[in-house]
Amino acid sequence: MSVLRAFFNPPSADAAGLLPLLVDNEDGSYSVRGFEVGAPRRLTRIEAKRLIEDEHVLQVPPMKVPDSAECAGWLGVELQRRISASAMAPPLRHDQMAPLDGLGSFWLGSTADVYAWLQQWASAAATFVLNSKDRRLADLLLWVLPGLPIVCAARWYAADNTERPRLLPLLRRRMIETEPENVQSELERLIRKSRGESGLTAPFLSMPRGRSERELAPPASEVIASAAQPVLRSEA
Amino acid sequence: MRLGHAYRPENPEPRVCMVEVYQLIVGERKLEARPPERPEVLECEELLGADPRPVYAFVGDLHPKLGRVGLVVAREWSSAAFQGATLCDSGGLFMCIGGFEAAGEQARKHLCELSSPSACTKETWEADFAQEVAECYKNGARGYVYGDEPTGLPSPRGEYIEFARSNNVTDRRLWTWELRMSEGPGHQNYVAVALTDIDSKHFEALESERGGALDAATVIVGDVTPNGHPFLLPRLRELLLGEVS
Repeated sequence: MSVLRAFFNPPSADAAGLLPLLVDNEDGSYSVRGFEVGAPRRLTRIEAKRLIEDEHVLQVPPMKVPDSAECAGWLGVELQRRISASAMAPPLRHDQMAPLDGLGSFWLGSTADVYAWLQQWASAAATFVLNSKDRRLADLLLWVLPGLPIVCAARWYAADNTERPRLLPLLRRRMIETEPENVQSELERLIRKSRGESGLTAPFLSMPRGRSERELAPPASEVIASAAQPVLRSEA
Repeated sequence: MRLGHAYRPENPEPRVCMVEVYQLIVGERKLEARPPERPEVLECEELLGADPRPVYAFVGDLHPKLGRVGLVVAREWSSAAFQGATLCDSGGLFMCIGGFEAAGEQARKHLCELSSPSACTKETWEADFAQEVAECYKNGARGYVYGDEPTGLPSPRGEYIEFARSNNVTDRRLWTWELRMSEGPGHQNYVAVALTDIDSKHFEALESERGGALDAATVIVGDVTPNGHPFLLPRLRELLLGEVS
């Protein structure tokens, strides 16, 4: 059995998603799992060591991984906190999840299974937004699967008319399978369809609401102001 | 063909890293030379006469090992700031990494032969590059950008590739052209930025906070499903190829 050594793409406390894996094959080679483009290639121990030392990957405590594990599902601790206080907390499988450095929790699975879990949760929550206009939940879903059309539709539905002109270009970027000039009509079609088909309201409506996202996380402008002016480095 | 710079943030935390990237794209800060991770990098630059310390780019390529944020930059950057070129990865050759091990004790000599001013100059590099692409890649520029292995590259690069193939350490840095610039690109030179899935969520939050989607550069997002690493996406390759905006 192989051993998980690191995640590709540093995970974030604010987001959920899928993380590719750097796996030690225990035969002197390493593999990357979870990227579907590009031929699979084995890395030497030295190459893997460099990736870790150079912080291209985030090292994790060694953990046995079955051959069927292609990626990690990721749920950041801040997102989990905010969304657990919303009407659509994710259906977590705590017995299968492992914590990581106070940043969040992860579980291993096939890419298809992990994506399906995220998709089902995000779709259900987006459908809820389309019946509740829960703006805060719509915002949080952009930290889960922002490219899912139903999530884009929920965010569009929750926005007011003053916000929509600024929002549309972001949604156009995300809905890559729809021609840019058709995105708005597609969003409105999805809203009509989902509101017509689903009546998702209770039992979630009675759950307590949390504090606003802005209270829980400093806005990025504060981060800009507080960030030391980092030296930007070139490739070497 | 456009230029690629794989940006490695000073702070890998996604939220802070995306602030750095946003500031680059909007011109609030400028890309600077990355401090060397190994002393050999400075020795290599000294041998090449690279002063001031350069900002590096690959012609038509973003290499995932060099940074997690992909910056696609217009070739006008080289018109303004060209300092030198090498017909492969200079640092890899200097340090005899991977297939460059074939150079052995000749590495420094080879490096000088494969670099400006011996190999090409500011005035000639584009024509020299175009000629090599036409002669050595069956699918021309598209083949180069998509990572095809060249055929018929003259010595010593042909020998590096042969050595790498027989030792299973093939890497496109053996034949990808490197440019060294005396300064980072002007913000108007950024064509696209390629982000990981999680980074992109932070980037968009930042855009929303600061007034909406940037139209200064195309933002490309890599998913784990179905498309993989953003540097490998066909759309990004096409942007590097320069045939789409």
